[in-house]
Amino acid sequence: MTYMGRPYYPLWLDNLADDVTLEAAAMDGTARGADDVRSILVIAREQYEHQEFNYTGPCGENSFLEDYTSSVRGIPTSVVVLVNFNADGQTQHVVVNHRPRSAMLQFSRVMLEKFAGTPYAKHWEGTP
Amino acid sequence: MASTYLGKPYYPAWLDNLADDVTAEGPAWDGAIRGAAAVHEVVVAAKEIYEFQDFQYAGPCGESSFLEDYTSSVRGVPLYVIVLVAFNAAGKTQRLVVNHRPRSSVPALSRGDARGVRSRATASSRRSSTRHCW
Repeated sequence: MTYMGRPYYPLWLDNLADDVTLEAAAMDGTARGADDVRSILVIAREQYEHQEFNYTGPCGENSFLEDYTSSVRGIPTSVVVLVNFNADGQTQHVVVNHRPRSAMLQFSRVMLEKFAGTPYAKHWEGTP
Repeated sequence: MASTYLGKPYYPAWLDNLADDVTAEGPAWDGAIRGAAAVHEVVVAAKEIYEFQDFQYAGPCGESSFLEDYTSSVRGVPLYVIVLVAFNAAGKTQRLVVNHRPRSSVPALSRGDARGVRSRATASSRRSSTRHCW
């Protein structure tokens, strides 16, 4: 996981607001609360075979953007993550966008596989 | 179709400033749409199937990018969109990433986009933008 040739870690992931929300192109519905959002993001990150960041940094006045390429089970994917902070500087809202379409759908199927039988599975059920 | 930001009409100025070799990607299709004519055609067709666009943010993002964050609906299906626009050194729109969510809305959008784009492509004899597995 590198940005400009150096290791990168998303600090916003360790600073989630209690009522943080997560949405994604590969998900249905909204995940709510720090425990649920963290659980999903940790598993999601484990599916990446690498992450090469083209940009990580401020976006507008109180947001943060990550733009990276990766692969999941050999399928290349590109990702844009938008993080919004609340007035206290905590992560309030996260939107994760995978592309292209085939990679987004494959990622959704992988997440359903990982969360099958859990309350989180509803976010990926019905993926074609 | 009403397109508003902070209560005022909004138009994406970047759409009128596309680089000749601009690319467009997104989770609603496979591959990259390439070239100003094709990208312009697809964006205009997509905007036509939106029932409204209510922008939460439209402004700078980083040093050479622009972000749009808006809600919409297509055929009654709610849709949330984040558009990331990257400019080249000449200030032209070089790369466009259009991110739709949630996942279940994407097939409806893809079908609608494909129909809109196909009808336009047929009318104009341009077919380059319909090959992207909508």
